[in-house]
Amino acid sequence: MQASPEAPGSGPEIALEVEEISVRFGGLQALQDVSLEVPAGTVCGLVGPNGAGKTTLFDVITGLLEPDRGRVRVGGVDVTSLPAHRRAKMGLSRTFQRLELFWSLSAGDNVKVGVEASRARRRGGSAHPDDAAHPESTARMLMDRVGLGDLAEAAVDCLTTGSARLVELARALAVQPRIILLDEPGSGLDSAERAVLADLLRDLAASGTAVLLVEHDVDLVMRTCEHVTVLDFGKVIASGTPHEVRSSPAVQAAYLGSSEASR
Amino acid sequence: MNELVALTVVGVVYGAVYAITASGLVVTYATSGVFNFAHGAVGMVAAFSYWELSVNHGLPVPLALAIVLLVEAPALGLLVELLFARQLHAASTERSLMVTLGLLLVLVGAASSIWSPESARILPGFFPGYSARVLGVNLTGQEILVVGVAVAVAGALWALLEHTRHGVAMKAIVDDPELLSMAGASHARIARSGWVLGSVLAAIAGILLAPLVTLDITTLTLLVVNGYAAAVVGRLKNLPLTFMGGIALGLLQSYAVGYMPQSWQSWLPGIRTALPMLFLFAVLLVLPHDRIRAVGQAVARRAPRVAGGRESLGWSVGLAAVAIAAGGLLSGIGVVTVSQGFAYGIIALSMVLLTGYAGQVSLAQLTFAGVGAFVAGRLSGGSTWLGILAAVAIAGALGVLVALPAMRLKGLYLALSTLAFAQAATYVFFDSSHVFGTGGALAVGRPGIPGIDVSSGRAELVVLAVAFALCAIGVLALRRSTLGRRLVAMSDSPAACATLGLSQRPLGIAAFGMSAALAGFGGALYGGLQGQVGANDFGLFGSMTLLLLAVIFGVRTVSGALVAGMAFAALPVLQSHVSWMTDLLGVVTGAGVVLVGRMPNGIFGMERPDRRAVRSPAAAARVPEANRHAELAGDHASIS
Amino acid sequence: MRRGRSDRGALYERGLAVVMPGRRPAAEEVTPDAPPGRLTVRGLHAAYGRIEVLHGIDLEVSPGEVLALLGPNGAGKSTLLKACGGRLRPRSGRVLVSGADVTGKGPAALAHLGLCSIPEGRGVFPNLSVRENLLMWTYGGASRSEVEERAFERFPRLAERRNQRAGTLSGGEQQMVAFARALAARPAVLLLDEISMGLAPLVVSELYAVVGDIAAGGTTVVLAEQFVDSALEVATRAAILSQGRLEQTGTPQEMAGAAAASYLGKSG
Repeated sequence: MQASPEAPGSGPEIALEVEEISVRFGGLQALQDVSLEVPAGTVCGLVGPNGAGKTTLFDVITGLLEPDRGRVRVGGVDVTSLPAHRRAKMGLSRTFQRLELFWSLSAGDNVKVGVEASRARRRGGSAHPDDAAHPESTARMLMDRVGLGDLAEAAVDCLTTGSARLVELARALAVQPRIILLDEPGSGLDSAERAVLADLLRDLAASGTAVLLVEHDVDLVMRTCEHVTVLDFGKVIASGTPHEVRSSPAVQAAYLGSSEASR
Repeated sequence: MNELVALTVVGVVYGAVYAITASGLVVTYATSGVFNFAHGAVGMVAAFSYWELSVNHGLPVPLALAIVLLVEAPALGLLVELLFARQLHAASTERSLMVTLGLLLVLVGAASSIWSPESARILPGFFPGYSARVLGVNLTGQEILVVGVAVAVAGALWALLEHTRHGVAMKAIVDDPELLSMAGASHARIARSGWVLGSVLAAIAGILLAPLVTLDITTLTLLVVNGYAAAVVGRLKNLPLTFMGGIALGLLQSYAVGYMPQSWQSWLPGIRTALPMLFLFAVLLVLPHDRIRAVGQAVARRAPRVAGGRESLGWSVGLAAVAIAAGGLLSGIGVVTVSQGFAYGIIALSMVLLTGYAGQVSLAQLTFAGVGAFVAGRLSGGSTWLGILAAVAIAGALGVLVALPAMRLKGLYLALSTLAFAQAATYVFFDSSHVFGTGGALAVGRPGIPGIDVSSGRAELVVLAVAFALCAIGVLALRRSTLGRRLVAMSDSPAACATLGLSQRPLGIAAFGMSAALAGFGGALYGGLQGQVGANDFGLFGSMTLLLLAVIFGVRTVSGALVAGMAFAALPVLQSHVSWMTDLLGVVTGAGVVLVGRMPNGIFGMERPDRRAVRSPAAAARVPEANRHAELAGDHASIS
Repeated sequence: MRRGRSDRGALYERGLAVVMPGRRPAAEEVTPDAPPGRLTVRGLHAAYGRIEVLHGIDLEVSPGEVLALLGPNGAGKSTLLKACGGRLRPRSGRVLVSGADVTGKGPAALAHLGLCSIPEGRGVFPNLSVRENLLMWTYGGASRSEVEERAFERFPRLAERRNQRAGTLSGGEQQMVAFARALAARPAVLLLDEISMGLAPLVVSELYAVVGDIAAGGTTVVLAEQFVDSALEVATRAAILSQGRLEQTGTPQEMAGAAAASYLGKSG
């Protein structure tokens, strides 16, 4: 386990560590030397203007995109060369900004695929309390947890965007992740759904899960995140508590475009 | 030495034709995004039309050429664009594949109705009797012409694509059609010109090739398919590489004729004919992987409802009862036809599993069925259940073997590789006398069932109906199982599956294996029903037709599979009442696909109106390619 | 400095002639007193599938004006520009250019009516060379040499890279190639979506200087921006879009503070 310079040894275990990731798409430097870490049991925010590289970073972390440079570590283990499904088996899970649901399946079955996938993962490994339960009931419980208990039979393309996002969230939780990356989970949610989401994020952190959150809803970020990293032009321009970040001149510049301040 | 030169000349000449047809394929694909499986058929129709005009009606060669190349071929290209392609721009690979396969069947069917395959036709080469000595080699006029035309086509394409605004726009449309519109260009006109140009190039290749081989519908349609192999060398976009691929294929084929050891040929007489397919297969295998990408809400395909266990059991009992009743009512030919329908229905069920659930397109399902029939026939004449079991096992194992390398590929390329496999298997395996015996007929018996006399047609009908019902129950049970959910999930979103820890390869291979095993089972039963089978029962066109019928009636439903099997069996019987058309099955199937092309779930998978009222937000992101990086999609992406 | 600016009306008529040959616009389609180049949006609703993104936008921008659309992600800025540029058919409401109703016309037709829209992040054909890209800009009517002359004069860096594939250029250079279309077309209306995205501040200033010059020539400009300060340097007016509605309109100075609040959370 590598100790980070910022939190030398003292803090909780670092669940996810991203080290100097760089990605280039043709002429566009999508990510440049991006480093961040997410300790277990915390919610960390990743914010930045459109095109700053947030989703690209998620793709790199989960293994859908190969970085030109840099390392990704999950629980201290270097996973940079592992394919996405192997990383998932190490407890990494995510949702997508542009929904990636199984459109042919019902909402409940979407979640069930996740439940069954995680069972296969633990087969032979340590017993989990949920293993006794039927996948059906585990899936139902997860749907309840995101507040969609009554929609298990619904076809996913009949759902509102907000509900569809929550189905994706339930599916991502179904694999019982140690680390979960959420890409704009709040967009399209109504205020009641947002409240459910905020509670859920806190519960996750309390149960020891590391959460990395991309979100444009500033209030949600302020309420839930312990630590915020700000990306701009593919670079980390600020990192700290929500309040530190908000008052950072570089962040003001990134959002408001003052060219002097960003130097 | 002389032999080498001669073989090289022949290879270059063939290669030049492949290069021309391949470049047409590439031009159409690049400008429209549609891989035209009917490209070869367009060349075939052009060659026959040219024969009709110049030989049959005695028109002067230049006039006949002008009519075919300047009127017919462009019109055909425009027709395709108008009829199908305009809907296909935003359509999935799977859909455009089905529609162009349908077009292929229509063209082949129409051509065989106009130009009866029974009578032989000879298309003379150009400049007969002329020959010239070039660099110490005697070349015929036709040979010089072919190479000359290929060089001219290459030059003209280069000039068009590098030095004219229209040509540059044809390249630009691949990058971003919307931006081209914003610049003020009519992107419909540019896409249309891609179809016209592709069609003309197919026609040129067809006319040049026909005198070198024979003027035969299947040969021409499939020989121009060789162009596919060359086009794939250029990854369907690079024209210089495509030309080189064409020449390389031509040379390979020619040298194989000259230098392949006799012993190989006595073992595998079809190996030379199959070379282009093996070449295509090999090229597909060395193509780099496609990475799994998150494409967002690309296609919202609502699946038809899946029947529960008790419900499917009920339907099955009903089906068996109907079969018993039908056995008493139908005439002899009716009984045989319906029995065949059940056997084909089982093969169509293998397509439900593979295409309907797992989202993979295979054009080799009848090949697997043929393997099943062969194994059953070879093992104690097919009259034991052990033979049937072996048929299932070996067909399944072969499916896994094909899938192992092919699973790296997706969509179009996977379909192409199964096409190559099916055609190569026909040439190398089925056409060989070692397989179906001399004369191409292998006897296959029926396994007995204790206490029941299965020798009568009516008893066999009931046996097949029950077999179909059991397979259907099994397929539905599979769909409701963990594995079934995973197959569907993988086809809906590979990226989401990967992030849940599911790996694509084993799932795809399992789907291929199970589907091939099921097809093998169907094939063995079909063999037992027919008493004897031959290579003609398991051809590529048959696979295409049955697949398209399944798509028409609903490839995601077992009822669709049953009706597709019945139609596949019944249409040839109806044929005897329709004398003016010789390929009713092909034409009806092709036209049917074109008609229901907009119904992704087919007739039996149609959504009920009340559910259709609520449309998905996915419509907002119908063109995933346009959004290169999800991040860059900005407002659009964050909203959808 | 710029030829032909004065006869915008003639340009407009030429554009119409391309789209509707031999036919003058019918009286009811034209608001007679609308100056050529004015962009009018009335009661615009737009949706992706079932999700409505714009809930009734009213807007009027006159020639020479530069309107900056500000607002957080997902506010609907890009959607508004797409609907104006013919890339998204509005659910209801109207878009008028020079007083003529152009609602429902496609991007190509609008280009010939003198509307130029530069989309977010992808204003070039990445697999074409710079010169081939510029060749595509001649569909607007200018000759190849005119297009290249104007582009290379304004952006000398492009001349050095004329044979390079556009996809391999830096982000700023790609945006210059995209801007060359506006320079070539001399449009009546110019729509710019997030031109600063992913670009260094210096490049952004350079691009905005070009925007200022184009507007000074009498073009109506609407730009969507997150990069508030640079946008406000050239904007003559600014509007804040929030959750699909125009919240406030005012001078750039007035809007700067309001925009900051909408980005960084109201409690801060």
